[in-house]
Amino acid sequence: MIFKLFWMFLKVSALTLGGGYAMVPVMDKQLQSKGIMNEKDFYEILTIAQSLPGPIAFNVALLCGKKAAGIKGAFASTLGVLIPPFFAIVLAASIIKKYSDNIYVKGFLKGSYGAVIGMVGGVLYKMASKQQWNLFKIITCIAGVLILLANKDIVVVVFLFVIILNYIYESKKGSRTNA
Amino acid sequence: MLKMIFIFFKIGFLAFGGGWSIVGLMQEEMIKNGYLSFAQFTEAVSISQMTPGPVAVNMATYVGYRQYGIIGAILNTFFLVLPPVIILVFATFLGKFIKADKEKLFSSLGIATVILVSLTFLQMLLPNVTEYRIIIIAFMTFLLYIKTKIDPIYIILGAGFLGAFILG
Repeated sequence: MIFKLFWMFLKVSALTLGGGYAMVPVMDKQLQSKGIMNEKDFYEILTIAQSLPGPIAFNVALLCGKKAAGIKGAFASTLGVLIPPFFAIVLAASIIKKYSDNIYVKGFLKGSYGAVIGMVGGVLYKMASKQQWNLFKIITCIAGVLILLANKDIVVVVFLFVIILNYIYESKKGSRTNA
Repeated sequence: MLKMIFIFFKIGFLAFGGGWSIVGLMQEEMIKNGYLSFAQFTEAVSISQMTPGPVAVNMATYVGYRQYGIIGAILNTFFLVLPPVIILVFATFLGKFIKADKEKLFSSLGIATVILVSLTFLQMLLPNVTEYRIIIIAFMTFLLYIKTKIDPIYIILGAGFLGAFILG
């Protein structure tokens, strides 16, 4: 089982381009077809994975591995997820080092960087559309971005402050509608 | 090297909602500490997105490898993914003391994540990208990403080849 988990996560990680969110559906399919996990368990795990910090694909592997085969399973699964990108990056970094003065390579990297900016904009758009916005959220959001643009050293403070503030606001609002 | 590892460990705790929430913070820290120039940062982002694996992990590996070779790459990767493991271990423990409404907590966490991703987006775009052709590529990708179901990796590769011809 340990080796099966390692091999499955290694394969998914090596063959899926496009980051964590592209990997999750492939993992779901693989785990089910290999009979390691059913759909309900997987979605429970996905919810927890999303509420933790850290890359989503890593968190899913960690939790699935733990559920299927304990600590050893968690270790094998996360190792499987991490190994392929590790070598891909080391390889890419050494190639780039060699050719970074080539104008076509430079152009290629610039063009794809532009596309990545657009994609992050798209991710942000989709994330923001999922929120149920109200005036309070909009204000804290804009204030948070402005403060952090000015000073990023206090990011942890701002992060926690925003969470606590919104949590209190939601609780107050909840009790008002209940009463 | 300890300093670099600690930066990635610290940033790892804020990686809610996927890697993009922390790329902006990485940019700030990498440039401020002289690990990467802005041009090298854009290379790192492009490469991290085009290779398999989560973008934040790839960034950590890339920077570690550039600075301190294989050892730096291994340590950076390890410490970036350590925070979720720590939180997971403590969450079951903390859960006994703190009773928080999950729905409200997720919604609040969502807002904080939107702030961090906005920061990443602005940081990637604002101070240094002045080339109008890059901005056009960004805008076209944005539209393709939200309006079509085309896998973003093809858009990014396509933009790369386009860039090799018009920007090279």
